[in-house]
Amino acid sequence: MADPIIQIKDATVRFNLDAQRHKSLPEHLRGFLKRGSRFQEFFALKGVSLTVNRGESWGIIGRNGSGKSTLLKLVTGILQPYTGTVAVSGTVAPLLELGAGFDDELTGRENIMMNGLILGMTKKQVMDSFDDIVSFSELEQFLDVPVRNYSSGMRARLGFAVATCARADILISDEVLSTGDKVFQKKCEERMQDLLSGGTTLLFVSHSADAVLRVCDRAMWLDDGKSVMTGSAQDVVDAYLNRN
Amino acid sequence: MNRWLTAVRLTVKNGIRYIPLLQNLIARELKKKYRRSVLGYVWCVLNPLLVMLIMTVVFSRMFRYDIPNFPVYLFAGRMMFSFVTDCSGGVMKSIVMNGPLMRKTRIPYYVFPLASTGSAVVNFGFHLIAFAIVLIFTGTPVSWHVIAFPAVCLEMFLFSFGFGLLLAVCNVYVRDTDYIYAVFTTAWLYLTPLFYPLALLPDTLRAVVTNLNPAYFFVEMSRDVFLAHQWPSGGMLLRGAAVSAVFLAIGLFAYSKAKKNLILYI
Ligand SMILES: Nc1ncnc2c1ncn2[C@@H]1O[C@H](COP(=O)(O)OP(=O)(O)OP(=O)(O)O)[C@@H](O)[C@H]1O
Ligand SMILES: [Mg+2]
Repeated sequence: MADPIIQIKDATVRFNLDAQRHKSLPEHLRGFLKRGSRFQEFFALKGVSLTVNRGESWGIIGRNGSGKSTLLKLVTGILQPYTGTVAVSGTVAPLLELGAGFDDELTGRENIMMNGLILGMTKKQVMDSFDDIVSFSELEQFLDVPVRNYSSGMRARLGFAVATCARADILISDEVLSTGDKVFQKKCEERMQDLLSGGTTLLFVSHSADAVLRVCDRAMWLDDGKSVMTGSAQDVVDAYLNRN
Repeated sequence: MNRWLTAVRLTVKNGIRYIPLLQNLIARELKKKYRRSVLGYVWCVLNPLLVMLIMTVVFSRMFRYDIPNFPVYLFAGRMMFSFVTDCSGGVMKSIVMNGPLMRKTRIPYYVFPLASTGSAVVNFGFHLIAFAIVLIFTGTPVSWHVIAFPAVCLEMFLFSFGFGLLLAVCNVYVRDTDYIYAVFTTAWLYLTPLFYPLALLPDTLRAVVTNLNPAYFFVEMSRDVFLAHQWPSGGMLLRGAAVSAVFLAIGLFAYSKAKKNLILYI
């Protein structure tokens, strides 16, 4: 029965805060001379382990900055663990933090193609799902408008529609629904349920406990880069809401 | 060695999957450049023609260098030189520019430098069309030596890609690379005999330019083919091959060393 599709073992993610600062050449030189100060490390995840079986839907909850998005990037393969291992045996369709890497200058139509290709679909697959994507995102009127003129909810719709049509083994959703209106949120949750019953695995980050309970059967609570609790969605959400 | 071969095979196998994306990215760069103009893609051909026209007027009236068939001399040189600087400059910016995409999706980073090179090559094609127009209007005959030109172009493409890739990696770590490069290309422009004859340079400088200025290798070979109607000299072809091999190797090496950490500096 258990068929692990994602296995994260004791994963640590290290960022170099120094690298994120905008530095000029003189600062670089100074940093280079005073070797010690060059590396200012920060651990966004500290020894997190998680095993996800095929077809499960996991909610990931925790406060701002607790490492939820970082965990999803690890699974997507955007980040590599500093220590520990991450093994993913399947294709991933990531929807990370508002908008799936759309190009502002391109129209909705062009972005659908671009995004589909990025998600690993073939041109034909994108064309075949095109009508579905358009009708689901309800953007018929705006297809030939540059995405820069879309509202954030409209971007989220389009991103969600493309990602769910990619038919990946694992769907990753990071607070994507938060900008959509109630009707659209409901529609998305139904789409996710459909995918789940079709065998897709789901990783779902949300600050809405209700949404997590509706969509997920398992959950993980992250705090300060550490896993506090994993278990059934109900237990973990209860514990999270009753923390002091 | 074996491990290395497997890595190459895997990269190629993976890379094939991304060819449609690559085409799409190339089309994107061209589209974005001309979308909002009335004449659109006509500019791709018109722009180099007009620039050449102005430069021809300026340099044949103000300075008298006595270069036979100056429009072709100028255009051939400028076409090659601007490919080298546009392509390497575009590749340099490609990784930093696509940072937002790299942070949200998982595609091999090398598609961005490749796409940038691809769009520079397409642009070069437009320059060739403009060049053909110049050849027709100046009544310059074309000899069968042009069959050597693709080889010259290939060397130039590889060199520009490799050089650009090296710059792209530097640019991720030190964003000043961009500005330094802008200054560098200005010096490079004047050190390449585009609108003046090579003979104008003092002896030492001339030796430096003919032996150490890669852009000049390609400029001179294009003039051999189109203006002098002769084969590119073996020495130049060899220099072109050497410089493209060396920079391609350095660029790929820098990229492969840095790729794991790039995301942390984007
Ligand atoms: N590229 C980076 N460089 C440095 N630090 C980073 C980087 N990305 C994330 N962090 C840090 O890692 C920590 C976790 O960030 P993460 O985005 O995973 O939080 P989150 O749980 O998704 O929060 P939110 O609920 O606000 O989305 C934060 O403290 C953040 O500042
Ligand atoms: Mg987040």
